[in-house]
Amino acid sequence: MAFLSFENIKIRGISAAVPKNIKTTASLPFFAPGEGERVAELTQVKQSRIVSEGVCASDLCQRAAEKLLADLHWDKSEIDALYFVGQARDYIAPQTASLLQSRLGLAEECIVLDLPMACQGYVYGLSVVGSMMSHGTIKKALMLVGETNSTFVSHYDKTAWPLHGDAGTATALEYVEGAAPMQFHFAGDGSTYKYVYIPAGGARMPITPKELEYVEPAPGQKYNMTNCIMEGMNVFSLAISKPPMSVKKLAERYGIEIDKIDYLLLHQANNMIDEKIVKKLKFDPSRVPMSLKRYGNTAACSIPLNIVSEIRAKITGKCVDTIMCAIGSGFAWGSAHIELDHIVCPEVIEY
Amino acid sequence: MSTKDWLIDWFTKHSAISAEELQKSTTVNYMEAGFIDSFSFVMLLSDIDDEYDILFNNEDFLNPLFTNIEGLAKLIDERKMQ
Repeated sequence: MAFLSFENIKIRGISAAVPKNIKTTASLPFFAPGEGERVAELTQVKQSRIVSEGVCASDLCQRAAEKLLADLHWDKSEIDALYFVGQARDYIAPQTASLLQSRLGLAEECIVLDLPMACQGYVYGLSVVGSMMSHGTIKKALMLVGETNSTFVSHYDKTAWPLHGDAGTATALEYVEGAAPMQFHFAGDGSTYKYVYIPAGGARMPITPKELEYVEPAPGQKYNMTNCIMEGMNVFSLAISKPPMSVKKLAERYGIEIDKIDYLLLHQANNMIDEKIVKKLKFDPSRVPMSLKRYGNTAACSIPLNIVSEIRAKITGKCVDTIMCAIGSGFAWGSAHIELDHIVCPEVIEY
Repeated sequence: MSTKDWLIDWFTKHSAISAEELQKSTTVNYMEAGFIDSFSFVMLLSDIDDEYDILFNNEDFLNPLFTNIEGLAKLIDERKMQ
């Protein structure tokens, strides 16, 4: 049984940074006349943001973190732990958390850890960070969640390129006695790993010139082995069945009344998927924010970016109850019951 | 409305193919023939789930019956009986 609950950990703030470059779905060059508009309408990804050359997810996270630390009036020397969540690490080695520790000017006495997770990364990340903090010796932590899908997804794959975007976020957590518990459910099925995967670049398939050759197994779906390859139909089938099941299991285990939750925060992959999940949970769609239209699928960033971009004004100065749910490559999925209590939430930064 | 008629109606609404042409093409591979693309196929799965409360998975996608209207109708009817 993969449930987890711990107390005394509070999210103090969330910030987000996105690139200035806008990719408009309807205008993508590989679409036939009218096709782009139809894809934008079906998926609701009207536009997304992509980094300029040389900009990494860590750069976006750094900007988000610096803004958040300033707004929280936190001294950098107080940060006891830094986590980087995402697959677009600066290098295969060393871990990106170490690089960010230095770039942010954090103390040497600081835990640094990478969690190279995909779209489910925010939920999993909170569970890891919070669990470590719940022992009481780590008082303040930063969880930096960043992704540059534009560096993984083939620009010639019209089943994938329109959907994805880049972002970097920062979440500040603090040990606070009496804070509401964070509760989680997790599950996964590793046999589905090929539904979304990047074949080359790891130890299983090192990159040679062969892996850089483009293939086009279906018209309009052109990629090489260093790109993210997605089996859309299989992903859809998993994505609409597992998340609602996870939320129901979470609610049953911890006695949560789903319809009383203030916000259902779903990973932002595709509007059709999220609509199905909301319908299966019989949840009020007006309490399901959707940043998908403006930012596309930003992988693990999508939940924190969604909070900052869509509901920051509504939750400022308030305590709100949320359920977060995400599924990502592996496949692994999870849901979490998280309170956002008077969090600091600056506007989305453009970098 | 029979399952096959529901599918023909669906394809009429979501492809550029007329109902009359679809009636004659129920054993044609709708993806290979370009009736719909992968985005629309996802919508088809979603609408089948809404209409019949049936969610197909990756094993179903490998079934040759899945690739044409005639076969898909048969699969849906079989699943409805379960």
